[in-house]
Amino acid sequence: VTTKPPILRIGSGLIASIQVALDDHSVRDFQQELLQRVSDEGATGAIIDLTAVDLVDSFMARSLNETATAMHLLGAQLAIVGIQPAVAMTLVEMGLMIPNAISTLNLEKGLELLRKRSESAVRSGTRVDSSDPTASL
Amino acid sequence: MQTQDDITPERDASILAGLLQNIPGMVYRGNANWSIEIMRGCEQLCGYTPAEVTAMEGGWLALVHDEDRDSVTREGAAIREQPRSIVQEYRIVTKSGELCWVEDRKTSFFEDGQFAGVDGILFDITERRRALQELAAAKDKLIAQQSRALQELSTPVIQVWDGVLILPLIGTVDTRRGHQITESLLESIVDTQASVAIIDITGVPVVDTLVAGHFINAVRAARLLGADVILTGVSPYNAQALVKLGVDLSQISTQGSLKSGLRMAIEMAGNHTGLARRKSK
Repeated sequence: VTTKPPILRIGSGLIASIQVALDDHSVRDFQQELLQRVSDEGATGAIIDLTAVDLVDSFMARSLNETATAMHLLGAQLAIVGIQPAVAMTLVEMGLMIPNAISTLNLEKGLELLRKRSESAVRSGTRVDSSDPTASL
Repeated sequence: MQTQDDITPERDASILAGLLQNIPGMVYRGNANWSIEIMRGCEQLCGYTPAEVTAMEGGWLALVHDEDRDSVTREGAAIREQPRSIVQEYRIVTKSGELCWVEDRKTSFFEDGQFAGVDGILFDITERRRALQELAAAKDKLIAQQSRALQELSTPVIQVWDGVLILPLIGTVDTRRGHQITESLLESIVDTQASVAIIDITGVPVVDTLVAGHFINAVRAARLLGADVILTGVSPYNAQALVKLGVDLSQISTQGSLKSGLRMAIEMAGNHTGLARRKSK
């Protein structure tokens, strides 16, 4: 049984849905694979779906933020969708924020965000950089 | 008609016997060594005959429930010092092995300055205790129901526009309510998929560091879900207090009134939905 979440490509972005609780090692592997794919395929953004995840520990929260920061360096935006209320409350109470990723309520809004960013990237002829005001959320 | 003058010792005894017949309990005289003379009601109360009780080692005390025996003896010791009355409640084990709560009312008497014994009446109060317990349980249930209803009332979340929620808060916010507010805010955001929520604190009398902390947490958690929160209705008094306390609310968007907060929220939510409409064409 593999716990590795599949990473799918849609348009110029990537989508990964985490369906099971990942251990630290799997989180690390997943982070590496996602960054590799972003770099290889020149993706403008990635969405990580946490709808099915009911526990996010400090390692995973830090790892998500690192992924987001690293993706900014690669010129891509990380969106996290479907965080459960209980997960959000736990993260806040533990003081764990994921400031470099944008949260969206659902996959649809996440896709919309990525599409908007890829369009503006095409218009300006460059990849979007991390000074995008929406990234300061 | 007879008067008091007519009362002879014989009549006295017959009046006493008549009165005893009408007492719904066990009447007894206890001696200094815990042995007991039972005058009536013994079998109805405990199932044993007076002779059986008298034959037991320890007398009446043998019937008393193990856990209550110490307190019964201890309290009983007090009336051996001087003539006085006490009321005790304790459990006895009846002949059939059942537990029975009794109320023991007794008065000590002295002969030649020496403790001579007690006269007392025992009532079966098992039913009364059960009724009281049921009453208390019913009361607790009612209180629980009411506090649940009050909780629901205390954190209403209203959807006022497409993708805009309002939480009008009234009254003091403590830690428990702070949690409730965050919880119902997050649940409503997920349920309605709202992108903006307004927390209106016009009705919150005092906002201190702790309360502000709850709001900051609620805002952060909402952001993790992907929704924005606007805080409205901070009174001048509270604003001043927060500044003096050094609470940093700069991460939270605030608006002076609910009106302007609503305008801002609709604009923000409109950007979201407007975008969706443009894209779907």
